[in-house]
Amino acid sequence: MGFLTHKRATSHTPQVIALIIDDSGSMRENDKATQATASVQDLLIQLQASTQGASGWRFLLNIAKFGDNITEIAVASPPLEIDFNSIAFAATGGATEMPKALQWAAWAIEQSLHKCRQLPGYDETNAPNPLCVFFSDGKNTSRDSVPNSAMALRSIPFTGGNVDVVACGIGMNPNDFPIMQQIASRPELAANIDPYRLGDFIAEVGATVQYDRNAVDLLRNTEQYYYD
Amino acid sequence: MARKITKSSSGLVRHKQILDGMNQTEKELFALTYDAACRSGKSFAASQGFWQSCIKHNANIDWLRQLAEPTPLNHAAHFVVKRIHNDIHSGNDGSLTALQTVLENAQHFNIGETRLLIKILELVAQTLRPTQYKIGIEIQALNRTIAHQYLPSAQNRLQESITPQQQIQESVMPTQKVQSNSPKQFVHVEQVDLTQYYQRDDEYGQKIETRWQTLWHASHRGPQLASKLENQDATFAQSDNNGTMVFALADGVSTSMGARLASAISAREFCDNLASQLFQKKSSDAKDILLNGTAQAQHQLEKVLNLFMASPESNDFAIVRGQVQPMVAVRLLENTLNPTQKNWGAALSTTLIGGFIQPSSKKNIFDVHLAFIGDGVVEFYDVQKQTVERLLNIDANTTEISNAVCPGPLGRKSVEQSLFLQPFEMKRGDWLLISSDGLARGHEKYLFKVIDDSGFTTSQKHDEKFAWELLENTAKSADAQNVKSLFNDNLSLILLNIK
Repeated sequence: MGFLTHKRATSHTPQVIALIIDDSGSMRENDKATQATASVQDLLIQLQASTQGASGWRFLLNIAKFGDNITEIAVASPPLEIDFNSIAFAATGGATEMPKALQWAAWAIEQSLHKCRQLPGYDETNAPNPLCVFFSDGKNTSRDSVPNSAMALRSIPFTGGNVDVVACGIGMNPNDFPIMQQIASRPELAANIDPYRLGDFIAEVGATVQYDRNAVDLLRNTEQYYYD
Repeated sequence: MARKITKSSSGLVRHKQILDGMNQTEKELFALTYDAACRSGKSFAASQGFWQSCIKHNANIDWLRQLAEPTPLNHAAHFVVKRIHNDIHSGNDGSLTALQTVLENAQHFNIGETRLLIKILELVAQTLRPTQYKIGIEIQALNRTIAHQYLPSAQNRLQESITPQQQIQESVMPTQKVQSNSPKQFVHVEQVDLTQYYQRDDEYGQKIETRWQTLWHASHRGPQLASKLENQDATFAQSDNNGTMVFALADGVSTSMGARLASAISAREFCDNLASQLFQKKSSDAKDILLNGTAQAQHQLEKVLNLFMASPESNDFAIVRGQVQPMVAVRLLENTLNPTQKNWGAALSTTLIGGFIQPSSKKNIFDVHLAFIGDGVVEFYDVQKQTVERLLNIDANTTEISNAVCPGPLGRKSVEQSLFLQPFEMKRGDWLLISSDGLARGHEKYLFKVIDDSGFTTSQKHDEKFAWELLENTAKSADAQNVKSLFNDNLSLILLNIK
């Protein structure tokens, strides 16, 4: 099973990463939107710095914020092609339409894999699993099915592995949290973190991909940020 | 037609006017305060808005001093002020450091007006507090540029205005209450002529010869399959007429901004430093000589980084940062000097293997001394015994290195932790091979075997290009075999032979 592998992201085996971040009105509380802006910018700087000197790219990034609708920030983009200033979360997205966000993630990851597969010498078997990290602080407001959208995302074919979906609640009401366990690839890949530690959690996502760790490592290394 | 000024661009224009309205000493105190705040805690409790409201309410100097003291404020204080006071004294907060720096140093900059001091605190908060707006990010970049421009003169002014008596007191009382107020180092931005590092003999191959030894060195971009955009390895060597040679090989850290320049600087500075020590017979302890060389390489990188920080718009810096956006590049430099983001690699970072060979007290025998920071390979071919010994090995599966020559604390620590190979002797016919990890990737063979497959023993032309052609043939063979992992990096080589 591709789940626990520690494969290395290189220009022949790039890793696809998707960050989907809730930008609904409630993200204004506890500086969550500001934290998300600063820490995703920091993550981008880290990935830009680590892509120096190579003619290819080690990572393909997909970043979007969602509320009533999806706002794309990056689709299948190497880190150096993403404008630092485009990363801004303002908590003005409205409601929390999770299925739309998950459908966008599935589409963006497929776009990215398509781009990888066009690369001469691309070696999918040895590439790290695509990693999708889904962040939300509130209750799903959509009538559409979350499990169906999540299933479509998780079941994107990937040779030698699978798409790892981590679902991160940001100080979520415990009654709303089970939906995150339905979104994650496995229930243990869902975590409800302290809203004040959102920045730290996103930084750990950066460390996870840069140092060839996997989704399980990410959750293990962020246990101290969990919300009681 | 007049250009329409948008709300955000007018904000930027207004901010530029505010900065233009500040005099030299105000900008210097801002630079000093910003620098101190950067070096302190990660949080920054007092916002720009808080300081603006302080100006609005005509806060005086006593009030500022009260805020800087840990003693709880009296019950009459506004609840917001109480909260800020509580937050900034909760430990590890940059705004308290900023406040203390301003209060302690205002006299040295002849700033007596409280409003101006608060304005400086407001600017620092504006620069260091996270912002989500494009205009905010642009303003932060503008402020940072001012801070970097004025920091050296601020530090000079501070140094000049502190009396010798105060300096003695500071040196005997290192643990005063407000340690972070004083910058930990005084940065003098010196001009460095970078063109000397752009002219590279190693990228074509070079041969250096004395009566007793011949040395070839070269660096190469590597196989096409390695997909390397540039050559980030560098080699350098020099000799005198008495049988002493100095040499160095540096492998720029591929994830580090400016790795190509860093390796060229390190290899050259190490050799220049050793040459100045050895060719004039100034020093005798081999470890000290090597350590001085690695320290000089690190010191020069720090000088270059300070130069870039002082002039982020320069062409030299544009070359170094490549595709990285200017604002991102400056933040990487800042983090190299004052690391707060542990996952960002240091800029201008490289490995270094360097050393020297000189005649021993025994006839026809030469002593070799080598130091290294980071990884690499060293092999010794004993012609009499017909054996190859690997003196320094790498883990072929590991690409990360923990120590590197680079500016800032990581680089200084790495220099202190330089490792030394056991000194050894070379005699007539022996060969020494030094390489970066590229030649060792994807196979288990001795590197003498690798270069042998590329014409080491069969080549008739031991000219300037000898080492370069060995690397070129090796790279071509990897591409021909179509094995991606084979020699999957930049390549570099030093070959030394005793005649």
